[in-house]
Amino acid sequence: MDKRVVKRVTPGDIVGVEEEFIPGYGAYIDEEGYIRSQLVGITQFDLVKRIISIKHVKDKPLTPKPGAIVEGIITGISDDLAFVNIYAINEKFSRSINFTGIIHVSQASNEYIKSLYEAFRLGEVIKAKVLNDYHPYQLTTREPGLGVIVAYCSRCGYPLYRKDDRLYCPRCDQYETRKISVFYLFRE
Amino acid sequence: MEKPVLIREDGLRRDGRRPDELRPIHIEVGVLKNADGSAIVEYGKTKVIAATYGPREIYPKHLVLPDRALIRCRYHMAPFSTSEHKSPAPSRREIELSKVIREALESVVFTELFPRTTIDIFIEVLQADGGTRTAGLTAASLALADAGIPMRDLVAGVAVGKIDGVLVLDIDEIEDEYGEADMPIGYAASIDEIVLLQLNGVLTPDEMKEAIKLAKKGAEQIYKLMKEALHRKYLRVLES
Amino acid sequence: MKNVSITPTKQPIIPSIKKETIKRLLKKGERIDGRSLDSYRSINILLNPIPKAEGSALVKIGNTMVMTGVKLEIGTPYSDRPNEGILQVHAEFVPLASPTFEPGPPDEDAIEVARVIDRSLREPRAIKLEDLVLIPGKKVWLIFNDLYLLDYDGNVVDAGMLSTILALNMAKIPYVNITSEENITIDRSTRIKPLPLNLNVVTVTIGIFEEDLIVDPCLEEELVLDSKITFAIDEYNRIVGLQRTGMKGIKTALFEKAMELALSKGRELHELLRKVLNNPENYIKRNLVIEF
Repeated sequence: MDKRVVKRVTPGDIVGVEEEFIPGYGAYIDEEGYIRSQLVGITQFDLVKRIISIKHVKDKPLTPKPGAIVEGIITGISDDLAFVNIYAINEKFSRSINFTGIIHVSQASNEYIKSLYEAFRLGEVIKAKVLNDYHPYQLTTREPGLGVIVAYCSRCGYPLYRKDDRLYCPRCDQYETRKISVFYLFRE
Repeated sequence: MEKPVLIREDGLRRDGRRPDELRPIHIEVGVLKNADGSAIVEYGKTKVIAATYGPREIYPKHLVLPDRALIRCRYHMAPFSTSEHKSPAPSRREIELSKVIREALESVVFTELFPRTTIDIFIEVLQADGGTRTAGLTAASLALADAGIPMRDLVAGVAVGKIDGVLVLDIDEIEDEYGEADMPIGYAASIDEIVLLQLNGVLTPDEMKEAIKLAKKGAEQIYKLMKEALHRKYLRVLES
Repeated sequence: MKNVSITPTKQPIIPSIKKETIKRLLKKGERIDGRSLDSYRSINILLNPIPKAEGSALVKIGNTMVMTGVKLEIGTPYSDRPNEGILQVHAEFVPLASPTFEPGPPDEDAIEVARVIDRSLREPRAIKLEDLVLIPGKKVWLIFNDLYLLDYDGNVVDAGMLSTILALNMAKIPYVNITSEENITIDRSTRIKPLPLNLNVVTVTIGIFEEDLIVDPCLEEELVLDSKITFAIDEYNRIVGLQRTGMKGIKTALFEKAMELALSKGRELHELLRKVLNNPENYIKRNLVIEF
């Protein structure tokens, strides 16, 4: 039997033996040395690294992993720390995704900022990258793609529009500074 | 009430089943939209629905375990599930069964992959006709698989009973009430492990060994149906 | 979340070094308290420590101490069993027994212990409930069997079952004066006859650690075990109850081994019961003295 044939498996199914492969995501080695599936899904092979992994049928991320790009809402903020309610992982939304992330002032921007209020405000929506593997998730917005994607005027609450590298409130006719993501939603 | 004849003269049971025959079993997975995973399981007239949420953050926070996920499990019977109205408040029986089902599932779930989170499992018995905890366990394990929670194996639950001196598979309510023994088992068939085991009743040691053998045979049949249900729902589409 | 079974998070903390020691000793076939794998801790028994109760017993297995009191009251029978008395088993893990116990209604562990003991008595009909009828269909004896865990060092079920069966054996039914259906008085100063029993039941708890089986795990051992199985065994060497607890599955062959071990230990416990019940006066003391 060709071991590389993609198999459809359920938890407990044998997908290989210890001598052939290393178990990757969704696979484990049992006491007798068989590699078994942990998930309902299909087998995937990395023949260079000899890794066998299982792709879950729904392919929905369960928890944020390091390197994942998440979206969230700022639920609490002080000069040096902001709390984020994460609602999407890698562009995948689900009502059951609901994790707490934190951003330290040093992780907000590549430039020096004195206070986190220069980067985000309460209730704004941000894109951020996950740094660690457990709750509470440490986040960073130091890359160009990361930062606020929706921001509101701190005076009137109207959504801000992006003008060049700054955010503009058409109602109050004033500019505000944020750590802006290149994916900022509202543009002139 | 008079004790009914449980084993007829032709050796069959009240409902015409052979001693080692299961009731008709119906399984469906992914039945709820909101839940991360869900399943409906019917053993004859017993109907159970199970759903899981998570891994998600725990509230209150002081429950957090630093090295693994918590499992929270609730087995609950609907007030209309029994012949007489059942109070919706949890009985001592339901509290105990929540615990044994949780422990059965902890035996197969890789909880260490999701530290500081919780996996919530809710089992609602919609109609009870014997074997609710085993049907509930089957449904819960399917719901976990549906949600993509890594597991060592699926768990199939089945009860073995002793009625009129005969060991029988998958007893219903009447057989449970008038029989001599009821032994629910949760069995992970691929890795050959027993994860739930209880006995209400009297068995000799030899009968016990026979009963375990019979239960495993029944659980294997249910296990096959569980796999079929998962394939039917998800894997057939992936064939191309 | 209420009324949900949650993975226990508040367990007594034992240093991880001690955990490792226990595991390594078990692999070598030794135990932390010097016992062999298949022996019980010393069992101490005190009968009728609470004379006000109809029957009572205090059992100490090692440091685990359980007191059981049996109270008898008059009540109405269940409608589906009009000609039988009623047995109710409750267990309380009171806060004085362990730093991890809290006041409040019984938690799932206490309920589980009570229900395992209840089933082990009910299923083999250990108590002659049909002899506990005062007015058929109207008035019967209610047996309240309450377990009190006083000191917690593992294996509560075995200690609880032992104290329960001893308390039931010691229980005496008080004199009742029945003039009419409404007018029944209990005279608790005169106790006329013992509670009618069909047979005695003991439980044996086997701990499983990888491929090893141990009898009567203490608390520190319980915290490292893969799982436990409690067997209820009657005088005729039949299994009258079974409960598996713990967070790891069991292979069938190991289960059968555990069953054989439990049956042989069950015979020992029945031997002990016979010894105690043949000479109960040796185990009755004026004060709560439990060291022998």
